[in-house]
Amino acid sequence: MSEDRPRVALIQFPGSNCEWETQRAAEAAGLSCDVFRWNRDPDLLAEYDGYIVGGGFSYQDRVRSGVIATKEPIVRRMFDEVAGRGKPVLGICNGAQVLVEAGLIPGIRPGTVEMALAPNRHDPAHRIAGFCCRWVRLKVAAPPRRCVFTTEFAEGEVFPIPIAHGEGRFTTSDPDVAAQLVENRQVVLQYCDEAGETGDDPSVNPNGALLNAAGICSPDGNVMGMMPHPERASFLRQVPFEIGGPWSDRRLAAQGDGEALLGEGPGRAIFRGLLNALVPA
Amino acid sequence: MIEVELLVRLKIPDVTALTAANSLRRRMGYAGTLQRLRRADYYRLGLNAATTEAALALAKTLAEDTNLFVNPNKHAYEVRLPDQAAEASAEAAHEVEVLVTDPNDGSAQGALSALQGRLGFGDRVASLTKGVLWLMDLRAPDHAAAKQLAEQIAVTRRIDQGLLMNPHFQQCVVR
Repeated sequence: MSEDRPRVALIQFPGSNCEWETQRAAEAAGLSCDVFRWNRDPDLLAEYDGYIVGGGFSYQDRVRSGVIATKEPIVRRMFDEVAGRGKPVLGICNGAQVLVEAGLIPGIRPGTVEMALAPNRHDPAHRIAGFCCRWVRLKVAAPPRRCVFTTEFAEGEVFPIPIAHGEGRFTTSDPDVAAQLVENRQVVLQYCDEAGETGDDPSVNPNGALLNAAGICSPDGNVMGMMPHPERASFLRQVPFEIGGPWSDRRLAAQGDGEALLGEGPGRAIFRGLLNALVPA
Repeated sequence: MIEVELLVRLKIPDVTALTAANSLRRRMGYAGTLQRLRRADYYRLGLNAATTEAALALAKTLAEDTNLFVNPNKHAYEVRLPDQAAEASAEAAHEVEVLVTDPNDGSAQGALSALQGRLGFGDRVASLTKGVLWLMDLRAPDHAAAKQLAEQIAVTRRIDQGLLMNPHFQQCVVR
């Protein structure tokens, strides 16, 4: 890995389980990515240009997803680098839960817990409850430059991506926060159907999230928490045939071509957005 | 209808309670005040029974015979009336209970349907709610101060304040 590439630290907690594939996805996008254990000297985080908090079950989801991790010195240190110095951080799935419980997402008043990633909707009529693991579609719901991580997309672009979570329902009890999310256009990724239409049907909004939110950024756009897994859609070979649409067609066309299968998947652009933010124009 | 509480605890050390206590003491500054933290799965049963004794007996039957609440290999349980005093607290500490519930948690509804339907209890079991009960032994000048402290420990308001519940989707009662 070239030393002149931007360096990001991928925080590893006890119970993280996506660190190696996330590291591979970040490196495929052109970043230098170190897996950084939670019990290392937190001050070493200052050496990094940005951060990723990946998926898994930090501290076995004890008490509530992500909350134990937020009390660790490493998260406090990362908070200072992100909220104080404007460094970018991407939280994926459990990482998003950590950022929400740390008050970085939505971050209207940084440090204040303004939202929750609550258990997925419970809908006995449709036999929907608990952990949800499948491919969904997302729409880029804000101008690309609203957030560091969406600069490689077009506004309104729809792309497929997998989800795998039991507690992924963005919600808030504070109506002012909900209003500001809309006003500030902080909901940058929304669950949608193939045509980009949002709605509350479980086939479209799998967990019942407020505003169909799949990814929310901070007011400054340098922090994003997203429940879907872009690292599991970083290579074309990761895209399943059966989801349909242009990405599925590309995957089918690449069948038997090893090099093409290692090409870019729909989630890669999230990491390239991070690279763009860290490479001087 | 008579309401009865069913508390289900692990027989082995509860790692969730231990982890929470560790965070509270080592990371959040409650080393001097939080003497003990325990946790129980909490069920509140609304039972149609003629007497309090009959309701408590029915609750025991539900705990022991249905396999819905208690696995005897790993759980111990207790049934009690809602206004029953908490068990004796450690010396010089006040015991406070914090009940955390999620109003959108539909899993209790599934258990209630099973009890009323395939398990044959019919309308003898009228209602069921569930939550997590945290039991804290706190050093404080009096019980009112201990309750205030417990609320501060429970409700997550900031990155450095509160741990046990997120008020954006959960509710808590401190008693």
